[in-house]
Amino acid sequence: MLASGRLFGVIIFLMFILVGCSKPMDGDSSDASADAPDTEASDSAGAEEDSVLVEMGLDESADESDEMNPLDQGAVYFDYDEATVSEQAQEIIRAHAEVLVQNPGVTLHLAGHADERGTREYNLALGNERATSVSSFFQQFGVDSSRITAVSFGEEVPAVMGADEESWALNRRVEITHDLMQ
Amino acid sequence: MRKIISILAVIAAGALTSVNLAFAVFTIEIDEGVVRGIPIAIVPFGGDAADQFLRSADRIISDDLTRTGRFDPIGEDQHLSKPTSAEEIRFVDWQLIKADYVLIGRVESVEDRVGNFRIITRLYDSFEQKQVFGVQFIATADQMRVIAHRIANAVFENITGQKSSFESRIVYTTTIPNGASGAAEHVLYVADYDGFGPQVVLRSEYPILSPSWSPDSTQIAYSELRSSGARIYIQTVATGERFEIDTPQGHNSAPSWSPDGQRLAFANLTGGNSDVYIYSLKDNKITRVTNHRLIDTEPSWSPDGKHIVFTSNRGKDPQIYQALARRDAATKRVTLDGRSNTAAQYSPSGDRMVVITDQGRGSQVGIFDFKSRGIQVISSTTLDDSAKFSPHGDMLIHVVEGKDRYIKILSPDGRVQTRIPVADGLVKQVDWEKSPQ
Repeated sequence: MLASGRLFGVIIFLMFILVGCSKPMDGDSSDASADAPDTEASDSAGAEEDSVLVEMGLDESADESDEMNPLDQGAVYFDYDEATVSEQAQEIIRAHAEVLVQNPGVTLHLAGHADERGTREYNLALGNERATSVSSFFQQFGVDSSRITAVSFGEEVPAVMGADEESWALNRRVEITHDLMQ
Repeated sequence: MRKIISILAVIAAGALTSVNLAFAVFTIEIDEGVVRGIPIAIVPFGGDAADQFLRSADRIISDDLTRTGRFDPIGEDQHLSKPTSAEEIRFVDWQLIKADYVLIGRVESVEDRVGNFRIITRLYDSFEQKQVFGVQFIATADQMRVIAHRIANAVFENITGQKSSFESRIVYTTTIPNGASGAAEHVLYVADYDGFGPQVVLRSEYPILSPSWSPDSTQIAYSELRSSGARIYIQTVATGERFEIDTPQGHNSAPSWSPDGQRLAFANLTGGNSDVYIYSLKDNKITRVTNHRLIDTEPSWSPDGKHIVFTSNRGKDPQIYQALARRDAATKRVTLDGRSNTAAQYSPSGDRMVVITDQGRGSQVGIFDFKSRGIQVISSTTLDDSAKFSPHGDMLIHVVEGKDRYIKILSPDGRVQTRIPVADGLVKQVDWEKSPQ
C-alpha cells in the first residue's frame, strides 16, 4: 500500500462524505457511494460540511477566517493542466515551512497528483511538475532541498472517485506530509 | 441515425490463471449515414455438429467484419433461405436482399487425430454468381473462436485485398479497488482483440502504466509506479519472467519499443523535468533524445525507426513534437490544431498518427494526417485515453475513462464503435499486438 494513501485515509474518508451529501448522487457515480456510511452517518456529517470545506481549502469565503490554521491543511490544489502555485497555496506552504525551519530534523514529503482528464503518462509528468513547484516554494521559504522528497502519482491514486468538476478539483493536488502534522 | 445492437455474452475464463466468469452486455454502435459497408449475409452454420461447435460462429464472424466499418452484415431475419451447402445456394435470394456476398458453412463430426469437428465454409459473390473461396478446417471444440476469426479474416482478405487483425491480441491494465488483500490490486491482462479469453499476466500492488507489446509479440514492457518512483520492466508473456531495465534516477515510464525490437524509448522524470530517452537492449546504453525544462513524454516510434514523436508542453498547451531517434535531436512541432494533442502513435503505414485530442469537447480519439496536417475526431466519447492502431490498421482501440470505464474498438472512420468486455476492475490503458502469430 502506498504511504500517502494511508496517511490521508481520514481526509479522503471525509471527502467521500462531503461529495456524498453535498450533491445528489447519480447512483452509479462512484464506488465511494457503495462504501458510504448509512444515511444517519451521512446526515450528521452534513452539518460538518462547511468545516470540511474549510479544511480542504476550497471555500474561498472562509479564507480570512481566524479559526483556520493552514497547518491543518495537508494538500494544496491546482487548476486544470497547471502546476502554478496559487497565492492561497503559497500561504499554506509558508505556514508549513515556518514550522519546518524551526524543526530542522524533520523531513518533508510531497506527492503530486492529477485528475483523470488527459493521458496517464502526461499526468504522471504533470504531478511531478506540481510536486516540484511546491518544493521550490518550500526551498524559497527556507527549507533545505535535502530535507524534501517529491514524487508523483499522476492520476493513479485519486483522492475521490467521482467523474465531475468537484471530484477533479480535489484530485489535482500536492499532498504535504511531515511528522509535525497532527 | 445510430443503430445499437446489444449482445449478451459469456466471457470465457483464461487458461493461464483463472479469471472470473462474468456475463457482460456489450454493444456495437453503427452510424447509419451516407457511408455504408459492403452488404454481406452470414448464414448460421448447419451440419450435425453445428450446435456443439461454432454455435455462435456466425455472430463472431459478423462482429469481426462489422467492427472494421468495411462491412454491413444483413440480419438473419431478412434471409430468404438458409443454405448450408453448395447445392442449396440460390443466388436470386441474395440478389433480392442486396447482399453482395453470402457466407455459408457446415460443421460435421469426424474421427481425426487433429480434432473431432470438420468445418467447411464457402463465400459466394451473389451478383457474379460464383464461389469466392471454400475452406475446410479440422478442429477441437476449444478452437471454436480461433476458427471463427480465421474465417472472418479469409472473408475480409478475399474481398478487400487487405489483411485483418481479427486473430490478434490486446494487453490492458485494470485496477481492482478492493483486491484479495483488501488493498487496491493492479492487473495486466492479455486477451483476444475482442476481449475474450482474458489471461492474467501480472498482479501487482503498484499501479501498472503504459503496457507496450514488443514487435515480435513475445514480451510486454510496462512501468510499475512505486512511492520511490516508476520503474520499467520487460516481461516475457509465455513464462511470466521479467527484468527491470537499468534506467536513470527518478520516475521512468512510458516505454515504447522500436520497430526492430532492439531499443526502448521512455520518459525520465527528475526534478520538475521530463525528457525522452532511448535504452538499447543490446548494450544497456542510454541516449538522451530531448532536453527541455518542461514536459516531454509518451514517445512513440515511426515504422521506419528513424523518428520519435512525443508529447510536450513546451509551447504551453500539450502538443505532439517529432525528433530524430538520436542524441540531442532537433525537434519540430507536428500537431497544430486543438487545445491539446497527446499520446501519439503512428499508423502501421506511417502516413497517419492516432492522438488523444482536445478540440473543445474533452479528450477524444483523433487521426492526424501527415499530408493534410489536419485532425479528424473519430470517437463519440469525451474522456478517452490510450488509443492504438490494430496491427493492420483496420481498426483502433482505446479506453474510455469516467464513471463507467471500458474499452472501445473503432473503425478507422469512427462509423462503427464497439464496446468490448473487460475481465475485472477499472480499465486504464490498452495496447494492441503488433505482429499477430
